[in-house]
Amino acid sequence: MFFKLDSIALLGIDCLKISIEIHISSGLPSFTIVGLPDKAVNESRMRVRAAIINSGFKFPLKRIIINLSPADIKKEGPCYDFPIAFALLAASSQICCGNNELPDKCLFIGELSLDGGLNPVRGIISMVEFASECRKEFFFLPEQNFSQALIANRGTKEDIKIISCSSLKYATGLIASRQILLQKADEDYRVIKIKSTSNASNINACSNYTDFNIIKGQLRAKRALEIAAAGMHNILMVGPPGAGKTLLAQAIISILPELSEDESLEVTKIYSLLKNIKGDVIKTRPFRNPHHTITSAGLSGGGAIPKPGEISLAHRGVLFLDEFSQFPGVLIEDLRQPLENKEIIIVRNNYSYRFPASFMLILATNPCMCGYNGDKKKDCKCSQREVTKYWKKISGPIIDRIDMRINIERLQEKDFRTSNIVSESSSEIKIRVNAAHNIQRERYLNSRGNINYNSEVNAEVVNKWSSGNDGLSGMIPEMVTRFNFSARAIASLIKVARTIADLDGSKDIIPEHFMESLNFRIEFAYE
Amino acid sequence: MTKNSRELGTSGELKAGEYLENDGYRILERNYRCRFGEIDIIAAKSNTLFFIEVKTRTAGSFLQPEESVDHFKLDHIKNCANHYIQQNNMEEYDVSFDVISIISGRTGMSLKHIKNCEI
Repeated sequence: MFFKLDSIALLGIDCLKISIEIHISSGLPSFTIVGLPDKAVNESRMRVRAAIINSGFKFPLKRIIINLSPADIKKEGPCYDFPIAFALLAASSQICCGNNELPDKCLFIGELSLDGGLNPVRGIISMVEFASECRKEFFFLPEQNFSQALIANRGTKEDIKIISCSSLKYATGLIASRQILLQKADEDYRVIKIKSTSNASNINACSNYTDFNIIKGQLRAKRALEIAAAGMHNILMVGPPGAGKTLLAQAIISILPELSEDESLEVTKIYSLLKNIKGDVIKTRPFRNPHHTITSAGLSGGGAIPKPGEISLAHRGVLFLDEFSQFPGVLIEDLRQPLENKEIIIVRNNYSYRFPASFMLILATNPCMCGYNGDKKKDCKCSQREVTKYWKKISGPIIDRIDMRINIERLQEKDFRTSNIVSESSSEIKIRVNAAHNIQRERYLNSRGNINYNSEVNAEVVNKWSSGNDGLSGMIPEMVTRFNFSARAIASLIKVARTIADLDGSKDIIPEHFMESLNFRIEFAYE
Repeated sequence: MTKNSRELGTSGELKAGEYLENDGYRILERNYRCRFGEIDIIAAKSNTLFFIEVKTRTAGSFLQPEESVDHFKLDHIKNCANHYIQQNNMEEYDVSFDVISIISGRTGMSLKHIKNCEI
């Protein structure tokens, strides 16, 4: 007896349709899974057996062979339990599948628990997006994945009916006819709609971040971070220990606008590859702060079957590398490609796995080993040679891709005295940043190449900004002679100036904007 | 020990055979031997062949009888079963590997039938 069902394999963030083929013949009872299953897939034999028996069906005393095709791609995870069990029941004619074409129009995914219930699986958003491209009609998935799946399905063009199943037994009852399936899908949709409207009011952005108003002084740094946040520019902060670099970086998440609907879907998609995200989608921007002992696989993604690394987890948010100088050189070089391409491609076993990595990079470091090089009050104990060596490690191509570089000084006596001056709170800054983001969204609405922010534009656009602007084009040659800027440096200055203009609400970049951007590009003497 | 172990085993097998026949099984072979090993009872019911290992212990032993049937023993039984099926052209049947565990006490025997113990 032969039977075939379709399911989905996760490959990085992309998916692949796989067929679960089953052949049952008489002979010594055995249950074999072929098609490069990993340990978790192979163990599904035990779960499937228990689930079938506990759902009140009979496990056939026959020779059972399951093939996961295409058989040359590694399959991982427990998400094939459900399709395997379903195929097994259908092949041993224990369930009636209406007319035989119905299972062909369905996709199945889910992990079985021993009692026959369905447990949620990882990567459901990718799967739903893929499923709607497969020209299938119904997608059976675990109940707990349903709300996320619906959100993902809203964004897709093709309509696929999502059937949430609480257990194997329940699913087998549904497949009897098309009518029942359609009815069930509509019903679920209505129920969840009522639920989500009642929940909508109490979804509040988590306000568990450092607020800007608790940070004393550092007005210039705060302004720099505001600009960086507004244009999603990468930023490097250099300063002595205790100046507040880490605190400032942590506060930036409080002034970044919330994720848009598409963005939050993208972010949830990545996170759900690693673990089950309960309930809805992620709405706050990610802030990743890996320690410098992180491995290359941890940072950029990896593993035998690649998983997203920190740079992908920081997608649409902030990647903060504190004590940047302590990171091994190899890791720093790993950042080059993702910074340029906004994604990382990892190749394993003839298959390339793609993970998006469009993040804002914040680096913080001391100016030298002892930390006080350039400090006004305290002497640096490092020799010139040591300082050069220190900077040699962190300067170069990566620093070149950082639009803004600022110096952070230790607080002065006066910063503590004037405690009666209340500094701006994050929510006030956030309003301005939000406005700048909106301006940019409008500007890049119809742009080519998925540009969202000023920091992402290419040279062509930058040229257009500067050539059409008399004040700017007059100033640039002067700056080049005076500060010896490279072409890339000028381009990033113009980008930052564009963001400053956006914060200002100004249509054109005026010289003041450009002059301010110069402020945020200190050239370090030791570079 | 009141009886020696062979006697105990034989009495257990007889008891198991009795039970099976009462339960509607047709016994095809007892103590089927081939070069792969031995099967205590081969029985059939509807479209299924049963290869049955009978384990008998006296009451009060440390282990339950069925606990001493491990996967090595099952492997032997499986090979043996394969041989039997091929010799008799019985490929069309479903196959089940069962264990009947018998605890023999002073007052009588208690019997447990464990069906389809391995796949």
